Amino acid sequence: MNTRLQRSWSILPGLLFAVLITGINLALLPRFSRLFFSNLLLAMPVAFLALAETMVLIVGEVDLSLGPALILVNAVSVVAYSDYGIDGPLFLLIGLGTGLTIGIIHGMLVSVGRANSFLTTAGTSFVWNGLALLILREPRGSVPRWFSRTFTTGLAGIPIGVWTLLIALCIWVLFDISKVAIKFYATGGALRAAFAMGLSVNRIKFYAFLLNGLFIGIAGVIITGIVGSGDPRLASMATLQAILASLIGGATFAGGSGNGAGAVFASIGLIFTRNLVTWIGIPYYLLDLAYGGLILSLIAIISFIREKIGQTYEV
Amino acid sequence: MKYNTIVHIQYKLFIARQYWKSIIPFGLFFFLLLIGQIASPGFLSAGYITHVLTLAAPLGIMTLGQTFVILAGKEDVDFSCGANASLAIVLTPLLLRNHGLAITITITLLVGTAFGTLNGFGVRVMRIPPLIMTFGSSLLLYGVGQAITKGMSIGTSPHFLTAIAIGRIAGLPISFVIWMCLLGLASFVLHQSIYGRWVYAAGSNARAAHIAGISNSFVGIVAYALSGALSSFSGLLYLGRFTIPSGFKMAEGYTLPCIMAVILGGTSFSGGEGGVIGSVGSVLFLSALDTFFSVFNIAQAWRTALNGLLLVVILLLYARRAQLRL
Repeated sequence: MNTRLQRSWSILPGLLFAVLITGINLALLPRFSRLFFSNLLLAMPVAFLALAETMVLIVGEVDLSLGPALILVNAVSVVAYSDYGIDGPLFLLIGLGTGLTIGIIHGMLVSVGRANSFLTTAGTSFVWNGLALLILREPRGSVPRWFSRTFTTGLAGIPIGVWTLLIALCIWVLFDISKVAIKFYATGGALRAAFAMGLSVNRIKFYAFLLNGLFIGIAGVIITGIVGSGDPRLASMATLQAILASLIGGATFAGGSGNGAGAVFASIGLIFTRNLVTWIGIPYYLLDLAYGGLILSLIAIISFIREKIGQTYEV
Repeated sequence: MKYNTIVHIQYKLFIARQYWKSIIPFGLFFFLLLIGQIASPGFLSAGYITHVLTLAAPLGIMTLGQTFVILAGKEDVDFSCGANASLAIVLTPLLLRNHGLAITITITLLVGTAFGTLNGFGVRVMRIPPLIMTFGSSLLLYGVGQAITKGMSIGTSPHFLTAIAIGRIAGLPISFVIWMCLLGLASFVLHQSIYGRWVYAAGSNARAAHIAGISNSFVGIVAYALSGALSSFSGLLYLGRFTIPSGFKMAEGYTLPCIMAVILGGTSFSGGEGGVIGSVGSVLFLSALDTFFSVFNIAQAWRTALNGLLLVVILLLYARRAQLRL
C-alpha cells in the first residue's frame, strides 16, 4: 500500500503549502525577500521537531512533549556553557545528548513499559518543563561567541538556515532509502502483522523514539543558536506546530504513513504563516488565540478529510 | 456447582476487585497522614483535615467530569480541564462589571459547556485524537483568557463565591458539601440512569454499542460537555479561594492531578471500567500531597516536574498495554 514512490508523492502538500505561503509573503511584505534566510532559520527548529514527530507517528505513537523537550535542551546547553564553561564540540554534543536522553527515556517507557505514548509524553512534558525551569530559573545565560557568530554570518558563505534545511532533507532521504524505514512503516501500518512476521516491534518503536530524541537535540541546538541565551518560556506552540506539519506531510495518528521532507516544508510554511498573522496587525494579546485557532482548525480539517476518505482511525 | 453460579461468583469477584482498586487511594491518603503525624506529632488535627477537604473540593468536582470523559471511550481524556477552569477564573470578574451574579455564573458555566462541546465535536465528529484536540483547545482557552484580559489582572472574586469556596457549614467546608452532592448526582447518573449505561457501553466496546443503537458521538459529546461545565464550576470555586485572579493560567497546574486522580481511582484509561467513588480517595491523596509540598517549601518547578513524574508512574502501574501475543 505504501511504496516508496507513493511516499515521495506525499511531499507535495507540504511543498506546495510552503511555496504558496512564501509567494504570498513575497507579494505582501516588501521586506520579506531581504529577511528570507533569517526567517528560514527561524523555521528550522520547528522543522526538526516535525521530523521528530513524523518518526514516532510513522510507528503509530505520538510525542506531545516536543516543545518542553526543546526548552530543556536549550536550558541544558546554555547552563553547560555559562555555569560550567563547556565549549567547543562538546557544547554541541551536550545539546544532542540531552535530546537523545529524552528520546531514550520515552522509548523505554513506550517499548519496555508498554505505556500509552499520548498520556506518557503529556506527563513527561511537565517533567521537562519543570526541569528546565529548575536549572534556568529565569531567562539568562549566553552561548560561545563562535557559535552565535556562525548563526548570524553563516558557514562557508551560505546561511545556516539553508545548511540546516539541507541537513534535514538529507537525513530524511537517508532514512527513506534505508531498510529500517520499511520496518517503521510496517510496525505503524499493521502492528500485529509485523509482529507475526517476526519483527521486533517494540525495538523498532524504541528506535523511532531514539531518532525522535536526536532530532529534538538538533532542534534544541538550532534554537539555542538563534536565541543566543536560555529562556524557559520559548516555544509554547511548538508541539502543535510540529504535529500539524507532520500531518500535512502525510502522517496520520493511526501510524504507517508520513513523509519527513513534506513535514519539513510544511513547518516552513507554518512559520511563514505566522509572519502573515502578525502582519495583519493583530494585537499581541490576540496573537496566540488567532494562531492557535488557525493551527487547531487546520488539524481538525485534515483529520476530517482523512476520516472521510477512510484512510485512518478505526474505532 | 451450576454454571450460572460460577459465572455469578466470577462477576462478584470482578466487582470486588473494582472496589479493591478504589480503596487503594484512600489507603495512600491515610498513609500520608500517618507519615505527617509521625514526622511532626500534632500534625493531624481537625483544622488540617478541613483544610485538605477545602483544597480537594474543586479538584474533586473537576474529576467528576473527567471520569465521564475517560469512561466514555477508548482513549478519551480531557486535557483542557485546567484551562477551562482558568478561563472561568478570569471571565467571572470581567462579566461581573456589567452583569449580576446569577447571570455571570450562568454565562461562565455556559462558556465552559460550549468549549466542552467543542472538544466533544472535535473528537467524535472530526475524529481528532482526544489528547491532541483537548491539548489544542487548552491553548485556545488560554488564548481566549489572554485576549479578554489583554494580559492584565482584572477585578476580584465576589463575596458570594469566596463564602462558598472557603466558608463552613456545620463544621464542614461548604465546597466539600457541594462536591459530595455532585458526587452523589454523578454516581446516580452513572449507575441508575440510561445515560450512565450508555457511557459504560460506549466505553467498553464502541462497535457493539453502535450496533446496539447507541450513538457514540452523542455519549462522547455529552461527556465532554459535562467535563467542561464541571471544570468551569470548579474554576468558580478556585476564584473564590484565590480571590484575585493574577493571570490567565491560574488553574493550569490542576490538569495533571485531575487526570491522575481519575486513573488512580481505578477508572480504566481504555474506558468502560471504574466510577466516581474511587477518585475521592485519590483527590484527597493528591491534595494532601500538595500540602506536604507547601510544608516542605518545594519550589513550583519541582512540583510541576514531580506531578509529571507521578502521572508516568501511575500510568506504568495502571494503564499498561497488553503484551503482544500470537
